[in-house]
Amino acid sequence: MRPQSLIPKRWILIVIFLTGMISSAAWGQIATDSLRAELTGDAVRLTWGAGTGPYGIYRAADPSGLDSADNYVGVTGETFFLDALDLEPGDPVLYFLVADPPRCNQHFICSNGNPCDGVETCFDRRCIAGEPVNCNDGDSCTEDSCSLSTGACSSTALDCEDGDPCTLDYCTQGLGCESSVDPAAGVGVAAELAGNPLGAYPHFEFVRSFNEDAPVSLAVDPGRTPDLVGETCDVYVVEARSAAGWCSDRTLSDARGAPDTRTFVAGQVQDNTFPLVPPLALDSSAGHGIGHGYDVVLDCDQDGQLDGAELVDGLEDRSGLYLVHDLTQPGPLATVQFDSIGPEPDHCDSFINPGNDDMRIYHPAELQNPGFGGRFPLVVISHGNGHCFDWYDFLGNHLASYGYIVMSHDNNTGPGIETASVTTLTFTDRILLEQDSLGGGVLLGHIDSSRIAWLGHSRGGEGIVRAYDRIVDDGYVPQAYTADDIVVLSSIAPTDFLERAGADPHDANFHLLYGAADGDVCGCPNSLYPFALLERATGNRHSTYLHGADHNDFNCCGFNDFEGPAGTAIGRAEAQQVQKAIQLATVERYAEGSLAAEDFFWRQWESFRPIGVDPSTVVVSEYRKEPAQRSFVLEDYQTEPSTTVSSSGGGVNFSVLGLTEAQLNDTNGSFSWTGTEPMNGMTRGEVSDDTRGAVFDYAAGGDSFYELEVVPVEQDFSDDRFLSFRFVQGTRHPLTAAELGDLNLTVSLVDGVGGASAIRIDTYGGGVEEPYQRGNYGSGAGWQNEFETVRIRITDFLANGSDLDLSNIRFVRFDFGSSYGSAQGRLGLDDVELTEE
Amino acid sequence: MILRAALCGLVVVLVTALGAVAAPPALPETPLAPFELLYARPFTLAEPMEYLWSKERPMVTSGWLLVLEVDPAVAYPRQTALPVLYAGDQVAHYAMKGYPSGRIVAVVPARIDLQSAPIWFGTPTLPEQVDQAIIQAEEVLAREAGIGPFPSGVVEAALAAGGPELVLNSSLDLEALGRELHVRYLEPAALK
Repeated sequence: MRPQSLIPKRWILIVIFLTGMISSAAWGQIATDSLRAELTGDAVRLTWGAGTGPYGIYRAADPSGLDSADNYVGVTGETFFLDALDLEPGDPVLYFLVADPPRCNQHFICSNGNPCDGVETCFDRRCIAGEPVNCNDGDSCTEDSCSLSTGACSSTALDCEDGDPCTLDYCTQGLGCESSVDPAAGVGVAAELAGNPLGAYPHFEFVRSFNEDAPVSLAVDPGRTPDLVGETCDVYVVEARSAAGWCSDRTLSDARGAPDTRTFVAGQVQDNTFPLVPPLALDSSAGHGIGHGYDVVLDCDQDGQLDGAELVDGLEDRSGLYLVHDLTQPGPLATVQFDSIGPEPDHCDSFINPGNDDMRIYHPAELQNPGFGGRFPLVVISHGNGHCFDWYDFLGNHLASYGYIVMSHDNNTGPGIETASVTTLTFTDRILLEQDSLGGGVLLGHIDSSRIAWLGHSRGGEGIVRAYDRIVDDGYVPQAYTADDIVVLSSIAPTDFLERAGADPHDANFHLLYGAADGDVCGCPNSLYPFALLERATGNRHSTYLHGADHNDFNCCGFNDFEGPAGTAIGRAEAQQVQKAIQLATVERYAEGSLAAEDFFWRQWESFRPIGVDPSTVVVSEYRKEPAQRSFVLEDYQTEPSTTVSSSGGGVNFSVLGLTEAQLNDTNGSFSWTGTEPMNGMTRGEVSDDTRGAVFDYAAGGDSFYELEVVPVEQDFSDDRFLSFRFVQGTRHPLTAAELGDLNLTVSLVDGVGGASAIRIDTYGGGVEEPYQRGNYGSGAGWQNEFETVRIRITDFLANGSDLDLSNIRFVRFDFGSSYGSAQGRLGLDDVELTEE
Repeated sequence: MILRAALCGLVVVLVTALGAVAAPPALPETPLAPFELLYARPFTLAEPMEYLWSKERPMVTSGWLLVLEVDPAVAYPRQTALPVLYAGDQVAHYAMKGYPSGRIVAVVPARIDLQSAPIWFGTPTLPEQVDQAIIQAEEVLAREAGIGPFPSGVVEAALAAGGPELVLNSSLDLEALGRELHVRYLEPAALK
């Protein structure tokens, strides 16, 4: 923090007679009567009577150019000897300037006494602000503070108690304090009501996010809510309220204009499914965020008010549903961009030390408005080798229009990943430390340095991971931020030169965007594996894998390196539609805590994708929650190599063929199916990695199963929200080639009293994608294996009175064959687990 | 003739539709010698420059500025490992601007003897990982492959094209000259 100044950008011409008297002429609105000159013998001392300062004093014959170091004399409060000033007693007049910013000659002069905003220093006669102490511990459930007396950081558990006896208050990692209405408060009953009808069991999915151009439906399952049978209720869609909001205001006002009236009948959920919101019927705007929240209420006494026993979808701070607009379209904020160009003559790929001095910055135009006080997260874009910082206008402006300050910088990728990581680290410091001067100071005070997203492409995609790794592992200390301030790493087709030892995302939230037709970072066997970075990430992680997209589809101007089957290239424009939407959703999720964004990470792309993306574009998604949100990992194949015992200690029963557990690493340099390499096509880990999984197959003509026993202490699933697992088809295997399509199977929960409930995974809109049919690296067609996550709400297994006892689940079972899905196939399986919301 | 032209047109359309023309050129086998040495000029820097293109990261005060004609596939910008350009016992730096012209501007961070030192592309890797042991091993491979220094006449012609020693203040001046060479040798107009 700079010392306080009372005279910003103003100056005063002072005429001093060396008699102890001051006469002055003032410019601006500065009162000069508080200036004092004390002449004592051969010295003079100037003071600013207001007691503040110090302020710099300059001497020159006229005002022009006074504010330069050459004319510097000292600061108010100091005593100046006339000899030193080249003056003699009797000189009738001198010209001095008191100016801002204050000048200095010693560090202490600059101190403002606040250790929490850093140590101010004097450099080149100017006070330089210190780097504020960053007390962010990365835990969104602690309150972090800095002691004004010592500068020491401390953290205390976040006190989420809002004092409202009607609410239950708690903290959620990544989101902070949340509240839900206390069930005992008599203010409604939380329920799942909004969603989409399905063509098969469970016949309805209760989901959170809906595209604005898609219908929203309402369903009541009489098996789960028998009290509603025979009831006629008014169905309200209301503007979302917080838990406290529901406690204080129970009146109902339908956002559609009027409620629907529905009568619920005995039978099945499909008998009680109704249209709720037609396409484009409600406002989807959300400021500069994404997802307009609404709550859904069944007002069964039809009195226009929420009563104690009535059902509410959204009886908490989270909304019952979010309507989402087209994420491929610009956000509501006008944007401005400018360049900061250094002295190096070439601005993209210089000849000596490329990547040292240029950046392009995109920001909301409203930063230019005087008095605007908003702060935005920072997004840093680190380009790839032979690429340029000005190749990401489409992405920079897109994100800026949603309220981000985006900086794309020169990246020193030529020598390698270490140099690239240094440029990411130092450019991030630069924009934070130089925000008072970049673009004329337009960014000053508007960057939220505790919310930084690093996006990198190719070598730059590995570079951002290396940069994070250097902070975590190698003791690199940035000046203006910490590892905890990096809210997400999003790597686009990254290399993996440094492998696990040097390119480890650790516990950072991580996103991988990657094209299946990449002709550069190809995912070829025995090459650099982009998916290995994903596998290493131990925080929240998700991937977006696009069929038909090549390496340079994700920038404006790189060579077309498409390698894939004829007719499958989706082209740069379409790839960037996906990129804009999914990277927006990614930063929204982790920088803004957007729950509406999360659905784009895992729901079957066939049924839920950004509006502006071509429906024929194939995208395969993986999503895994961080460990804190995994309530029970049934099997991850990491700790128990036996095929008959799971990593959680339960037994494994199976009739599938060729069951093998091993490292997910294709080691023979070919994608051909030879029969001797079970992990063919698994480009998931380098030799130094430890990610493991299982593979097996089943042939046509019969059914097969794979069943995981649940250990007794984990058999109560009633408090869990999702069953999550990931499957993949084995590339070029004869059974994969014979089936050649989305592979479908059935997953069941089996309880301890003979109850079972089964769901076919394609009910949600697609099965396990077949490998992109790219050739080369051996015979046949099919590129690297594409894991796809399937997440099923635990309560879906209760649909239509399944009588499943969720408190006593003995087995999670996967059934294969024509009775349960696809007739034949070769599969990989991993990460069977239960997660929280 | 008309039929042949029509068939040729059809082939072009098919190839384009298949995307085959878009595939990056395959990396050539290494060790690989440049086709030609077109320009060589010694330089001296008053202000030492940290050279990042080798593991040792030396401070450089003198060296060579070269223009080489190479297999364009080598100069195709890629993210995966690229053939490392060696000059004698040094890793040379070249910018990713030589595709498709096949001409690259390179900096050699020491005043090697161009009459006796070979110049070649070695095993693809990251320059920042290359140390002296790797350089020596790569030179053995290059010499085994029959790669030696350019003929004396070629070197003398390149020196003549380059001119006298450049005495520069800093890497920025070197950078400016490199850019000038890029315009002179690499831009399509310069090749006509």
